[in-house]
Amino acid sequence: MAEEEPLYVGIFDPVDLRRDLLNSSKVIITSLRKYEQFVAVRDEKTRYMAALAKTFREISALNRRLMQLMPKTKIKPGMIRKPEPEKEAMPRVVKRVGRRMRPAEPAATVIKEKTRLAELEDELASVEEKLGKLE
Amino acid sequence: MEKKDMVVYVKLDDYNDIMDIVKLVKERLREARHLLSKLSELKKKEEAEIEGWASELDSVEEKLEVIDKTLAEPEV
Repeated sequence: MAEEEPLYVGIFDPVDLRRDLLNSSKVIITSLRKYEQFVAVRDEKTRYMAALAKTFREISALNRRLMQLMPKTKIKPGMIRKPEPEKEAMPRVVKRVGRRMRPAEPAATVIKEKTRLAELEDELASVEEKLGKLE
Repeated sequence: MEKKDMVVYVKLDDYNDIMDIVKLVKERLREARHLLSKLSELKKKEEAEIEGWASELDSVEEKLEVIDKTLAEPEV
């Protein structure tokens, strides 16, 4: 039995086709190279973010130290002057004070191991409460 | 004079410490500002990289389309 002749399919413009294939490969390789650069940029960004977080922590610590050094004044809500009309016109401040001045939760419900975020939330609430008393 | 208007005195030692701390806070704030601007630059760089990828992907897709068309319509 005679072997069957293989069939061939003619390709129109083979040179152009080859050129397109090579160009596609080139673009893909360029993209992979750029990915490496992208990873480097991301690493750099991570380093800067860590440095920024450290700086913020330092600022927070310095602020706490500043508060300790400042004289302790016993300011009670009754001693504070009433807010001026133009200050009342600032809804953002009023809203924030109102939101943050909720009574503290009972100690029993406070979770022993607070996360860093929860600590910061508490610190922020305390500062805003103090600010609220000053207004 | 109302209580709210009363002058509060700070010990001289504490005052000096306070001034030192304020100076330090200012330095740290400058540092933070610098780091933020660096981060902003890097973010722009990242975005540019992603946009570049998108256009490269378009280019490869176009080429593949041509290749596919060429292969799907062979010469008789």
